[in-house]
Amino acid sequence: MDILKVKVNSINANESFLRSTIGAYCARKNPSIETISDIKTAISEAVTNAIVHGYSNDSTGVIEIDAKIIDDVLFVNVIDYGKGIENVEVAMQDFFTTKGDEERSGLGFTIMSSFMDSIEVVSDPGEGTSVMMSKKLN
Amino acid sequence: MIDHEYSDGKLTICLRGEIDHASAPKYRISTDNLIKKGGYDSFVFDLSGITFMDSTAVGLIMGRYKLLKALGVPVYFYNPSKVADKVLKVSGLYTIINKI
Repeated sequence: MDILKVKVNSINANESFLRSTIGAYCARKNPSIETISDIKTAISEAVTNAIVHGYSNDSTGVIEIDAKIIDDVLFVNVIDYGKGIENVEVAMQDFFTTKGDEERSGLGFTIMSSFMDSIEVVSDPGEGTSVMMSKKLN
Repeated sequence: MIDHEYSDGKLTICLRGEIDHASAPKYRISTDNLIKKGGYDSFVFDLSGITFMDSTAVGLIMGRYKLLKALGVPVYFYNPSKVADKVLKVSGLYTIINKI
């Protein structure tokens, strides 16, 4: 049993806090610097999505991260209780964004998919979104 | 403020540290102020000092690229760090902005 649970508000400062926390959590398995960097990038994308899209920058929102390491594989779930995604399949397409006027690149899910070994997104409009990802640590 | 240098008509901007959704606005404001000042005919993003970047940084660079393209100014990358390089590759930015 090796689990980590973190619960924070949806404020911008928690982007770097959460990615650093998950990076530090994975360090016990001595992953490569590149692996840590990939994980931090993917976490940053998921947390930014929760803040910008899930909660529309409302800092009273809650973001939870549930992580566990089983047999040298990190499983991490980034959860928000925000507005959810209407169509996950469309949202995961390269360059798709609902906020083009704010210089969002629409590449968040592309980067999460490329940098992690697996990703599964479950979302209910009005209920929230959960992004489950995994990556082998060594 | 961000470090920058004018040399032979080339404006080089050094983006350093971590660029994410939280930090992007300060990089955007500083860069846009330099773009508005003029005095250059090509523009270089020096990314050697980037220790973290995600897709927010891609959006930031794309936005500046569009501004500069509208001004007819060519844009280049210089010496991207390993972490910057990987995000630039995955995002496809190298297809529109070359390294020098």
